[in-house]
Amino acid sequence: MEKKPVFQRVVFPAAVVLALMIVSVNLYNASRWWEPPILQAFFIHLSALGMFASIWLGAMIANTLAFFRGATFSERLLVCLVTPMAWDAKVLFDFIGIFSGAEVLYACFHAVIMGPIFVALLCMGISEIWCRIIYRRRTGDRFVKIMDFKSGLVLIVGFVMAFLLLYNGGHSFYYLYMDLYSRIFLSPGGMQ
Amino acid sequence: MTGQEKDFFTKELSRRKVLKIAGTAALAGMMGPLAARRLWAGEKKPNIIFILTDDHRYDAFSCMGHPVVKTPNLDRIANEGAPFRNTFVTTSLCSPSRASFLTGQYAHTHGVVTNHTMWNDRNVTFMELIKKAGYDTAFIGKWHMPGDRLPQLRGVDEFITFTREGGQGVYYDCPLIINGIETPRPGKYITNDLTDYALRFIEKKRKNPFCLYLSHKAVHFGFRPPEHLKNLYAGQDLHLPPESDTWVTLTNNNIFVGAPMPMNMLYRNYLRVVASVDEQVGRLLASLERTGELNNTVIVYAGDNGHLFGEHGLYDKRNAYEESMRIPFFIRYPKLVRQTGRRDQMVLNIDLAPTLLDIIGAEIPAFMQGRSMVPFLQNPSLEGRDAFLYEHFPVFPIPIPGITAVRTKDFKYIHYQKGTWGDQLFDLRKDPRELLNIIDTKAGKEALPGLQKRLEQLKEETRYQFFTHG
Repeated sequence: MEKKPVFQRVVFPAAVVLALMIVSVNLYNASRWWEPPILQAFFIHLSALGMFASIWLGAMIANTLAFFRGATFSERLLVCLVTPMAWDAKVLFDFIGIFSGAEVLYACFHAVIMGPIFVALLCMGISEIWCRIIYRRRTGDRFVKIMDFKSGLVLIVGFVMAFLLLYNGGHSFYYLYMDLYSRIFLSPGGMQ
Repeated sequence: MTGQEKDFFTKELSRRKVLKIAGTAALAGMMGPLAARRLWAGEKKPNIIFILTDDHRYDAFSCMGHPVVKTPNLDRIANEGAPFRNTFVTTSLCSPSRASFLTGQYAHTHGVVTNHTMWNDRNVTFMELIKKAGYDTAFIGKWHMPGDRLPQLRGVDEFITFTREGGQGVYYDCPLIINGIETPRPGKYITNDLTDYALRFIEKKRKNPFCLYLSHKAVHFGFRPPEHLKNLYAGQDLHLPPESDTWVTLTNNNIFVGAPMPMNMLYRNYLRVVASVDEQVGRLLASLERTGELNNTVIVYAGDNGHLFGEHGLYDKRNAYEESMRIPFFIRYPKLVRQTGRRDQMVLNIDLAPTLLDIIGAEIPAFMQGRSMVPFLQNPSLEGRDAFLYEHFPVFPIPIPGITAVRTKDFKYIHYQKGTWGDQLFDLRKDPRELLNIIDTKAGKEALPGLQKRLEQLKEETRYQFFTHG
């Protein structure tokens, strides 16, 4: 496959999803106060869709764009993680100044923070499959496997982790997470 | 400053008004406790039922004008008693608020500053003091205060609670800890199950009056109604606020609260659960009527905090906005509330404990920071407090900073611990929904120094201290 310049194969796919996230988040927060209600509802739903597509499913878009522009597996992995990591950074910024440094670090393991990362891996793994199928059909190149070790690994890791985080509506992981938090930060002799 | 812009700090009082306030205050001071004590001189002291629900907003009642939910039994308590329409919690969060109801103290005093900080066994509850006054007592329902074990609650004869899901409990099949013994409750719906135990307690034959603390899991998140109500209000317009939308719970930092469902679905189920509480309160009222104890029982209904359903783009509580800090609070006791109808004084969750002690004629301990509401029960037109302190301490992992706020009848000033959260000032007379922060306006700059001063006074009076760790 033709390997396009780094801007086209890495920066552009990442930027498309990132831009979708930024526009959607701002549109969502601004349109809450718009009138008439029908206009507000239209933009709220549109922007919510944009947020969901970019933060949670953005890896499918980014990976597909990067794949057909000749990005390597590592580059595609990077491209897929840019938006969820940017989102996580935005969210974690809100923790700074409220909680201690150690707590902010611990917050990185919250399902809301880890979720977009692992869902991105899952989405990347899924999109790898269709990208390879399309590539094989287009080129007739049967040497490209539909799933190789690396793409299979991200799919499995993404699926298993997303399942663990979201099982029982996220309650099971949450109570485990908070129990551990209490042991680390709130128990006598903990990091208070 | 023009006459129109005068606020409560600068308002000039007429001699007539000063005399009226002083007179009523003196009368209340002299007559209040005596009047309460005289009520049952030579007769049995009143029974007490305190019903506490979780996250029940002040306006989710038909008697408060809610356009959808129907609450005939809760309305009855309000309409036949004194509905306090300006009742607030000093901290809008389950555990701190619950501890405040029990102790009559601010969170920074009783020490349960968040849902993660331990209950201190040295805390004295009104249950303990009421027991000493000769009552049979029961705590039935949600305890939900952290600790590695349930407390040995002094002064509580029967203690029925649950520890599932960090003490939050679950709506169906929730195991109960009945006087220390874990008991499975398969097939049981928690609100009905707790009411069954409450009925068993109040219907027991006894010599002493009783005090029942009935604390429901409802109407907390999960919002699972009983089977027969699961289609109630289906298809009805819920009249959510204009700035609320379907995705509020899934967006911004609301997602940390952990209610990832569309708002309409959540709120409809919330109202169904409110209706289920109303049904069960109806069973209690029917039982009291049947046993002839209704008019000899002080019935108090309250919520532990409010709840935002999309107002300000927020979901949950904790914030110092009205929807979050305002609670329902109704008292029915015909022997004391001779003049039924609304009470507009600002009262607080910390006022419950001294009020109950005052009603039964027991001494109100000096460590209680609340004030008795008995004078307002007897005389609806008395002046109430001019302002109160609201406090919130950071609770991991919800990224809301520490808050101190002062609410007066006319204004609310909210100060955030984290600088990037700008302080807010609202003129509640012109902007009751708190949509316009006037802190940088001319009117805001005029009101701010007085409010900041009052906030500092309140912090000093209550010996406020900030807890960084939740």
